[in-house]
Amino acid sequence: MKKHILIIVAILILSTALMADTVAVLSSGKGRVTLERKAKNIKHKNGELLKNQDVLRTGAQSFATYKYVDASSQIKLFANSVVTISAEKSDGKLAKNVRVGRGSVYSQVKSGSGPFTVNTPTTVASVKGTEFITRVDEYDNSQFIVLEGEIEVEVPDTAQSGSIGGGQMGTIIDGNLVIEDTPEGAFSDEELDALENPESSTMIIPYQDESGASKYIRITY
Amino acid sequence: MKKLLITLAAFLAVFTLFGVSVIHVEPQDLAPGKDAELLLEIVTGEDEISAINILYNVADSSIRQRAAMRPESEDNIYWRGTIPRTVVMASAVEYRFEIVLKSGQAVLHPEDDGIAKPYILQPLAPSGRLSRDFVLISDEDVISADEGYVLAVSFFALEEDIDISSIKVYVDDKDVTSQTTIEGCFLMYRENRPKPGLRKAIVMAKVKGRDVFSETWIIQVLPGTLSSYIPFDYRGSVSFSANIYNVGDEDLTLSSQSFGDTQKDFNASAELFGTYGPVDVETNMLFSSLEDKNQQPVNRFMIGMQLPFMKAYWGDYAPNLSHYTLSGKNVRGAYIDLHAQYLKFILSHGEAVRKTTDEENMTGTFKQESFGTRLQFGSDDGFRFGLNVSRHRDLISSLEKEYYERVDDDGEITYAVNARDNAVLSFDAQLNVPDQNVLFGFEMAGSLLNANTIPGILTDAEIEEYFGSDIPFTPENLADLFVINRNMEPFIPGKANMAYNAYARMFMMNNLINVQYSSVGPAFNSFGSFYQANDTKTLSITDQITIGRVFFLYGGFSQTEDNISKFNTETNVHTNMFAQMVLRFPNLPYLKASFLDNVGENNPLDEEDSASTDLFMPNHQKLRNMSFGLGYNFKMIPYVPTQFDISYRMGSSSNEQADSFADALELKRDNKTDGISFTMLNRFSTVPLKTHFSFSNSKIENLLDKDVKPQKNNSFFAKADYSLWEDRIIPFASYRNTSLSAENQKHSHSYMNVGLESFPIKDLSVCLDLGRKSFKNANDDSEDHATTTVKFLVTQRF
Repeated sequence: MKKHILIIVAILILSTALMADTVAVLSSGKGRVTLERKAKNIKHKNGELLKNQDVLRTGAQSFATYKYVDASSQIKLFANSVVTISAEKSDGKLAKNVRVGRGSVYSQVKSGSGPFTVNTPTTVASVKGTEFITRVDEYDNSQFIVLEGEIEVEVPDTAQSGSIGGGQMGTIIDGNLVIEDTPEGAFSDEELDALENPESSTMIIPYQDESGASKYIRITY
Repeated sequence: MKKLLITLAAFLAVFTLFGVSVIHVEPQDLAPGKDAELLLEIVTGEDEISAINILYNVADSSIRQRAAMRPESEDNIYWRGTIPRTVVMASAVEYRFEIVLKSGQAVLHPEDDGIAKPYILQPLAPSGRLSRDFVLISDEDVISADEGYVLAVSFFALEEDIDISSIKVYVDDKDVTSQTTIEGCFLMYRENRPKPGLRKAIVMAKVKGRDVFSETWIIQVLPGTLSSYIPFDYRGSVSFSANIYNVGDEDLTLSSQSFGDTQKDFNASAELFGTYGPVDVETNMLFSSLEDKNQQPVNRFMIGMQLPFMKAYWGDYAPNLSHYTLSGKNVRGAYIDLHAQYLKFILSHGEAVRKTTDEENMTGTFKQESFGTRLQFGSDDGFRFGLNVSRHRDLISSLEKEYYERVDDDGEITYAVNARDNAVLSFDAQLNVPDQNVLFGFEMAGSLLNANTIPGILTDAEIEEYFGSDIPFTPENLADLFVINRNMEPFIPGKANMAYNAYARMFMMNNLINVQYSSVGPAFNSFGSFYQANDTKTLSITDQITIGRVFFLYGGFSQTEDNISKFNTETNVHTNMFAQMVLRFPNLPYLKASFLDNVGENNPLDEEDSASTDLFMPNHQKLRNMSFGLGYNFKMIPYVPTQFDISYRMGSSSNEQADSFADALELKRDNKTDGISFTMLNRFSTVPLKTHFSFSNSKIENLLDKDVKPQKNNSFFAKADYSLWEDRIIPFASYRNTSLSAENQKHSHSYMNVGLESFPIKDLSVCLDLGRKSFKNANDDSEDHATTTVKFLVTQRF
């Protein structure tokens, strides 16, 4: 009995240790962004270290972006979204998981960087190097829009599964998976803005005006 | 060239006067995170040197720090010092050597005159290999200061092999590892309100025992909308040292020069340099158990502040107003310097000499008050002129009468010690043309000295006696400024108490040319500056040629002649010529050579005048030294890369004299000297062992009497230290032997030291040194003795 208790305690400690591991970093945020850790709201700012099982929420007209510590994936939460972050080391790579509770989340994943799965209340998607958007509505219906690459989707309740490729959209309603080409107008304005300017570059050129004050010219391209 | 130009005596003139010349070869190999070891070789004048410090600062930083150098052996030929690894970062470090002479004067090499450039350490790329496995997660190119600066780096791919404790993070010029969060395979450094500008960051570590480094990441910080946070940037150190001596032979009286008057001494010192926006602050203090209220101060304290328009210091400070008024002597008091673009005002006031009493002889020294002021018009980058005044006064009230006044049985008063007044007034001007790298200047000064102010000012009867009529001023009205009485030297000021100095410096086609002429009258006195050779004129011309970092040639000529007042019947002339050369091609041994020729002779004032020639005894002296050497850093020797330096010196000194002007000169002394010096530093690569060997040998042979045994001086030094736990503990052992053998003389000193240097935490060093010194005199056993010393030193840098 004592032995069992010790093992359980060790597992708990180990789990806690693993859970306490830093798995990602909050790289940017705007508006109302909350970070919840072990059911407590944590004060945070850009650069905050994110631990296993941390919950990130965005309010209206807000967004947050985080990156995993293996620098392989970037996740952006649009307004009114909830995400639980987790990862663990597996075979020398970081196996990453994003649990989308609600809202719209854009994911950019490098191929060959370890397993990446996205969970919604009704589905599990495995990702292998792609860009895609995951949506979950208030009825727990899920939708995946793949821009590039491929994801494998499985609906555990109905054992349905399918592969969604670039330019396709997969919708799961009441356990039914439907895959179709992404229609025009499928993206919200917020999503379009992020997709059309995903990685703008900026150049800063300092100069001095007539009075000798330092000024900058900022060029975004 | 917006640097303050200091009118010090030319580097050459000082070194010619004291015969000190040095050679330094800048180290070629340097890497961030490693101590920079500097070697300075003293070519001539090693006996005049009391201490040498390295004054260094990160390029473009106003914070200058000091690191003491240590002589390798008793002969003071090689001095070694280090600039700490915390300073040698990704940016260049500028440094000069501060050579403190036994007179107390400190001179800089290279000189800080706005033209001579300091030595610069340019670090190479970080040691090891570039690793792309350090991945920048915070990859914004441009941020606002409001957002804060975040450096987030992942080293996931290295997690299994990296030595976490070896990780170093450098942002701009600072090691910020202690402020960096390192968790698992991730590190993060944050600055909440960074200063706008470019920031560069690099990470270094050991992976499987080998050095690796990341790429250098550059980010631009734009000014924020919130009020900016100005960080307080500071550096400094705190030290405590204790020295305990145990003399083996209690009957032996040791000279206080060797050990002080106590059998133990303790010192605590601290220094701090800080920058807060436009304000620079500086403070340093030294407390020593050797401090004695009845001796000149050993303790030091100073606090200072610099603003763009002002400098103020309180405590021990060495003001520099001009060469002939206040120049480098310590004053304990207050100093303020107010300056604008075309106007400068300096005021200095304090105590130059402390009052002391000698109870045994019932004498003492008066407290000496120092006052100086300078008013300057014009700009250091163009034309400027200035008026300087200094006054030093021995305060009679500071000493009780019984210590200075003696009354004999006849009622006649004499003085065991005199109270003096000294005043100097000078005018200087300078023209600087930075675009042409040309600088001209001159200073003209006159002094007054009252050799004894105790009797008071001139009485009416004395005025009548000396001047025969009334004088246009009243000595009583001027008593607060200067005491006028019959003890003034000279009584009536004139050319004898004037001094002049003119100089020209220019830099053209890799040549740094320096010409200086000075003339000091026989009665010129300045308590505020170091020794001026009275009744002497000096001309010096030097040229320094530098071609990149490959070739350096420095040479010059100087001539000193006394008796310019023609008061004496003979004139002494010294002519000095010298040259130094260093040739260094990359990856090849460096070659160095030096030459010194000094000739001194006396001449009668007037060869036709029997008054000059009757008692004249011709005396000619010659001194000539040459040295050759080479050095190299043998990196290709397997297992033990070695740095070594070797020099061979040879020279001669002779003296010819005659008993009268008509007689022929006769050789009275003719010595030949030669010697070899060698130093070698080995760093073993397979074990953390460093060994250091140094050897010097010199021989002085009397060519006039071959039967006299030549004088031989030998010095040997060996040291080994072994690094444990990644340089956290370094035990060491060293042995040094210095011997002298000559006709009827043979003695030697041996030193055996063992100890431990420990670096338990970042920037903290603890050093314990146990030493045994023994002295043996082969001609007189009674002088043999041994002493044991224990030295303890704790230093915390921050």
